[in-house]
Amino acid sequence: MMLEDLYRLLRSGHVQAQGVVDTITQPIVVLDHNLCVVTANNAFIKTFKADRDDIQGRLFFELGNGQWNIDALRQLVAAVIPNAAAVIGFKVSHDFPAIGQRTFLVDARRLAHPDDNSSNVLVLFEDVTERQRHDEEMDFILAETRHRMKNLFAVVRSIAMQTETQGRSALDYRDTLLGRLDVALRAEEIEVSDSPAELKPLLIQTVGPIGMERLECTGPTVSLPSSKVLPISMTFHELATNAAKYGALSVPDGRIQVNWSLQEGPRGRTHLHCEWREQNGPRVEAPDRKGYGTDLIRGTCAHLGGNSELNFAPEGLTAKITIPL
Amino acid sequence: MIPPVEDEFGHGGCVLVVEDELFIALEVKTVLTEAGFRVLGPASSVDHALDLINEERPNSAVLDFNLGREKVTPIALHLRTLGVPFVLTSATSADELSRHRSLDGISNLGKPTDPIRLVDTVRAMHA
Repeated sequence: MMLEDLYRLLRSGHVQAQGVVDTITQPIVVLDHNLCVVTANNAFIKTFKADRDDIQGRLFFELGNGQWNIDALRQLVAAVIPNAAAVIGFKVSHDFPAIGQRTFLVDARRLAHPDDNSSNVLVLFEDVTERQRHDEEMDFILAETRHRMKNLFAVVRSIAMQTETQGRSALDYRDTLLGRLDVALRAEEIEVSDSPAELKPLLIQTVGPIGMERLECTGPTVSLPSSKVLPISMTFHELATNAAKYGALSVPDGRIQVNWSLQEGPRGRTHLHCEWREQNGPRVEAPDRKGYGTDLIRGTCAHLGGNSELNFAPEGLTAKITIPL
Repeated sequence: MIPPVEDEFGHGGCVLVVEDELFIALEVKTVLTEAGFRVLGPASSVDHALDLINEERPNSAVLDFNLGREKVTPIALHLRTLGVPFVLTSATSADELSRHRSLDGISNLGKPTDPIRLVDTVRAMHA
């Protein structure tokens, strides 16, 4: 073989190898046995904002004001040099002056020279900062979801426990339970969305299609904090359910008038005063036992530090509700 | 369900219940009332609970940790200064709870809360 051919062969081999190294997107640096930089690929130059001329031939641990002088990395390279071993996926977290806090998985491998005892060390960096951040975020979301699930299950269980069983059919119990679950689920959706709910649309939605045409609402615009959405919709749901079964919504001519206002209460807290008045319904008789959702309405208002007053007048039920907002 | 400790008119003592979830609050109240305790609340917020404590000092308290956007810690601190024993009923991790000094050494019955364990715990606090 001619010397020129041999040169070409070597040269094309070198160009190919360099091409491969430069194509790899992870930063790679090759160090000699003194740990001076032999070569670095484009990704290394770009990632670490290094200047190629500045690093060539210089001691790796002194580069960029000693930004690589990391104990963990020193130990890693020191472990690779005496042994033929390779170290794969060694995690290094470091605050780099030019690029900030990063986490790399570092691979280091000894490249033995075939003709003499010298050897180079190939060091490859994989930036896992984003991946790690993403993983942490996922862990957080998972923990939060688990917490919410537990809470939601506890809520469902409590609704089932708090829905009275005495003196009613299984069908009636089931419908009442499902109605309440539905309200709780919708309220949860509003709470999670974090957008403030307005009283009037919430009232209309809760009363549902049966009362749509027969509900007359008067009052100022009221934005409800998310924590009040469930109790207020549950109160209206119970009132509407009762109205549909026994009250104004059980006959075609029945109507419901709801008026509300905001008033300053004790200790400067704003209170919502709301009156639900049923008209043109059947003659009302006070329920002979508790239940019929009245306990729930009382309990709900008391839970918020407010109160409720249900008046079973013969001409129609009137409910007065006061809730601090 | 659970046999009353003394009678069913709440002479077992007064328990403050703080829980922001409406139905869970009502259930805890039902369980404790049926077991013979008188329930203060349930309160859904820090302000509401502090109002109740100022009106009447309870013998013990059952507290949830997260109250919407608030944490229960101001109530815990207040109960500590009054010397009122309390327990937590929270789905929050032990790790998170341990970050709050006002909850040091307080046991957490978890959520959902076992009603029998809840009643036993409250009885022990009143003993």
